[in-house]
Amino acid sequence: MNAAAENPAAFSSTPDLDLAVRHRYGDAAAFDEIYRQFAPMVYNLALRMAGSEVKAEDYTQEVFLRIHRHLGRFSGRSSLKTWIYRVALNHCRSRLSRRRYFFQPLAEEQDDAAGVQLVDGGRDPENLALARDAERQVGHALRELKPVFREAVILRDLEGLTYEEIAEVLKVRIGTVRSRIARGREQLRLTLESSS
Amino acid sequence: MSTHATTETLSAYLDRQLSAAQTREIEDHLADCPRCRRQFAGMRSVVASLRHLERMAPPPTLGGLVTRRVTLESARKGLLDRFESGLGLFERQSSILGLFGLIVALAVIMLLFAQALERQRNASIPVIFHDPTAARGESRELAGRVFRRESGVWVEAGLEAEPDRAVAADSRQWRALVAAHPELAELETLEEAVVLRVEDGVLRREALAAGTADPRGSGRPLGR
Repeated sequence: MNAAAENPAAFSSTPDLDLAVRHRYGDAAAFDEIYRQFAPMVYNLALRMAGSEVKAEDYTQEVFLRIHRHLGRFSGRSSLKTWIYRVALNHCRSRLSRRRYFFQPLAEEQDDAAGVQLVDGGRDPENLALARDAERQVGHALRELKPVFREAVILRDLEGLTYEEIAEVLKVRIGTVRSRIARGREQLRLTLESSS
Repeated sequence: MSTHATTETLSAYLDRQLSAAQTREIEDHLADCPRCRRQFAGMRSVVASLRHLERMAPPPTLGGLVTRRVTLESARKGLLDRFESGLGLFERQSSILGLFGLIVALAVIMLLFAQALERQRNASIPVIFHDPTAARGESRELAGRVFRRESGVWVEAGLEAEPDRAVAADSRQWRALVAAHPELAELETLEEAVVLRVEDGVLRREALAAGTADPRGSGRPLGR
């Protein structure tokens, strides 16, 4: 018996590809590992995109179902992180555009849980309340952005992806990424300045 | 930098995406331009706010829900695969059955076609039989075909007007037939009942047995 037959991951050359190959060969632990590693990332992206914890939970489940279905096709040309971001983002786009088309979202539908809590235990209650209010406004302004700008800003400023990674996720050129991030940030600035 | 900095340049500067020369240039400009400085400060504040938004942990129950859905889907996929493989077997079997059916259908069509050809060929053979004992106007069934006695010969009922199918005595077709086959003149003097058939250009004569003989049976050539 050769090494590849004994260990399917022997074919692969990167940890990402190892996971995909193990999944393809039916190793359930590989998918568990992927969930543990990427669930926070997918959940937060869905939360920022949808603006609701309930929807974020639904979208996250659906995204991981998609990942489970298609992980076998992951070829390792991109990193698993950007591949999963792309799957998640495409799913959120699809779900949100369907909702927008068939159901006009109500303002009350969107809970403010997305992006309103600040991790800062050192501030006094008054400052903390002010900070939370400011961040509630940021979260709201983010949801008001056009989807193409919102995606770029989320990936850059919330998820911390590099320009190259964002270009890979969105399948656009670096120049487009730079432009979308700038326009998104500028739009946020104007919205927040006009509201304050 | 004579004009104001673009939004894109300010954003790229914030992300340290500019070259060293571009960075120096924008820093010099920001030092001199209050408007761009204000815009840049606002943008930096927005980015800082965004980066301070708390990353939330997925609910602890979410992993279990995902596992359950994945398990369900795998089970459903397994069922679907089995169904599809069954369907594949059925498709293979049905293709064999289809081929067999096609062969049978072709065989039936060929048989029907052959029978139709045979009927057509037989129908095109003038069948004449002579029975001097029969009275004029008498009918007789012969091999499923009804003939009526006319002057001298039997004519197939209903086909009197079709010279290729039956020939009436003393008709123009009869005379043409007698001209082509002089031996037919024997009929004038023949005392026994006979069946005459023209087949492959040869006129055949057969004895008629009690009016039920098949005129298509083999017989000895008449004349020629």
